[in-house]
Amino acid sequence: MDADALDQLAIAAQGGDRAAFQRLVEELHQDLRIFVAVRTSAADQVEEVVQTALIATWRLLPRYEPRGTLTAWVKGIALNHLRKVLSSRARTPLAPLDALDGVLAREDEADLDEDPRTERLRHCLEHLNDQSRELVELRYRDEISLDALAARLGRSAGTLAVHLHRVRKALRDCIAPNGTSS
Amino acid sequence: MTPDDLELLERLRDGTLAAATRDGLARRLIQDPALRAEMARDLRLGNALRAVALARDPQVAQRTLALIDAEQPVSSQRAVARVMASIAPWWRQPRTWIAAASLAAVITISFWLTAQPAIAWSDGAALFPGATVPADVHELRFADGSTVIIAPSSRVRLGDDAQRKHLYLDTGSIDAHVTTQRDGASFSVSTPYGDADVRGTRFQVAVADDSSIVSVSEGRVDVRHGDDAVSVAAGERVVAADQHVLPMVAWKDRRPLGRLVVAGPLGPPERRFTNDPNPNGWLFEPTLDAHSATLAQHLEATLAQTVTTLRSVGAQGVLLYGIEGGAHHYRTGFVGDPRRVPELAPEFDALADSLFARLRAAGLATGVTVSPWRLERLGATWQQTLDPATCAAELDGKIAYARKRWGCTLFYVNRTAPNATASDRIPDSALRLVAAHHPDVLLIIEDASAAQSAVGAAQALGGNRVPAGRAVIRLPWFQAKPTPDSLTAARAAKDILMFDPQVQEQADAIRGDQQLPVP
Repeated sequence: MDADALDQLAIAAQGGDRAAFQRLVEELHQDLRIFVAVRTSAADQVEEVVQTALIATWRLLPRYEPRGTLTAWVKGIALNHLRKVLSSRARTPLAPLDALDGVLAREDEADLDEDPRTERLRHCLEHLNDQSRELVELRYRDEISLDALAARLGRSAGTLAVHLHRVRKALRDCIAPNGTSS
Repeated sequence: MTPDDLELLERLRDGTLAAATRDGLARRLIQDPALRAEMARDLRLGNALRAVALARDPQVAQRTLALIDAEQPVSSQRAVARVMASIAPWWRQPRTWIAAASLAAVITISFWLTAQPAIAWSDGAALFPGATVPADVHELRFADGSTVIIAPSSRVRLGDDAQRKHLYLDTGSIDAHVTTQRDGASFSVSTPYGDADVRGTRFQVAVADDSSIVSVSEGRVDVRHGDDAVSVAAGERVVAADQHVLPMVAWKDRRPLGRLVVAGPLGPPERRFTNDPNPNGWLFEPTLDAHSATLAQHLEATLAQTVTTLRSVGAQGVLLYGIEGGAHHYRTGFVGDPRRVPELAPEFDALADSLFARLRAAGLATGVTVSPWRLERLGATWQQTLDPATCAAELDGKIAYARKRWGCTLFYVNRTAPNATASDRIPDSALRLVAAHHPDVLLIIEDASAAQSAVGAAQALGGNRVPAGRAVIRLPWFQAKPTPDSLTAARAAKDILMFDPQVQEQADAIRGDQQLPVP
């Protein structure tokens, strides 16, 4: 759906049209989820932040000026919420089990203003070789644990971990501002 | 990051890091900014990949509107927390990547709005209809007293009905203790390979790569897959695969096995003489006159020595390799077709019945090698053809022949041959069919790695590839001597030690292993 069509839905939703807002959420949700996911190392925060941002979008929608920038505007809302969540997690007195989460949250916070150009991710995934793409699908789409994956592919867990890292590094390079995706 | 760090990272994602390891990692990250940055970036990209892979959430719009309605007067953040906590309280402290990642799929606001009761409980958390059991929950309790122990790395989902309890076991294994189900109550487990319906019993379900295994400890379980439905009693196990439910027979005798190669190649065919006295390479003796009474004397003497050695280690039996002769070994490997003995090795065929009878009389089970492929003459040479559609029948015929003629109960199933490719390997499904047709024989399934080392054999044969209880470990024969470590590992895995009784070092090592099961 293009920016103008999104704006039309936003205008209808500003008038209280819940069906229009429902369509907006359906359109925005997937991109928003990726946008948040690539900015936090804690997977459990993604859905929470996205959901909170969508609710805030409804509340703040009357302030939106339809200029074809709805997606960026909603992402801005999500970014603000993520900033709050990371800040809270990073500064909470650290219980032993939370220490790791706090350390990683501080790191996420420091990198929050980077632009990883996630819109390139799908494109970059298509350029992986078959073996790497299959590995990514098994690990991330099918949610197969490292040990189960190692057993299934007949490779050691250590070897697979290295392979997965290389794939992620290649993708990271690809989506970087000076990446090679083109 | 070192390879160890990368493995740590993956396990952090899987939620399988122990608390102490997490703590140690946190300390390292505090001290090492570069590692911290690298690990955080890597985790973030993993999350993004997961998000890309996730299917669209059909509930998201409806859920968002419901949350907006429910928000008043609490803040949106609190509303989200309240709903998520009511559906899956564990979400607030997810230590597992899988649990968190699956959250999106299981959250449905309708459950919260209709205030459905919890179906099951784990420590400190109620689990609601349709929930995916978090990866760090290893025990479920139900209102009727039924309990389910979940093995690590398993994936279990709950059904929607508290009365008709239903678990979906996608991966891993569970041990269920189900109380008697009365008044319309029921308990069932679905796996990708079959379903199990229970009335009140104790049973275990494990999902492998291509099958599910159901073992019943008490009571009775009905297992369904495809058109098959089998009622499994206590003490029985079945494997559900390929739209069939097949019985599994555990081979309880764990005593060692001997492997005697009676013939093999004495050299490449082009180096052999046409007047070779021993073209089939009997007992690997180039000068042995295979066409005289000498062959019988030598074979009988070898068997007598073998019987003595096998008895000294309390062996359960012996497999004879190469009974079809070794003339074609360079091209075919072990022929593995006892039906071809009269044609390929008439000199052995004349002696075979008395030799096998002698082994049986010594109290030993007997066996031979069998191959899943067809051996066909192609001019002056031979060709092996493996047809996945008929290889089970091919094995069936060879096994049936050896059982009928010599009373064989041990079969080494060749899976690799000198000129075979990966596609020439018998499918696992065919092996399971053969196992089902011959539940009272021991099938020893060869694997490519088994020919190389005992460790490889233990991994290949001890896993899910063949029904448990049929696995054996093949010790390195020829010059190799089993090490104490390999013997210890074999004992731990309850492997059946297989050795060459002609190699004194192997016999000595097994004889000296005091903890071997005795007959």
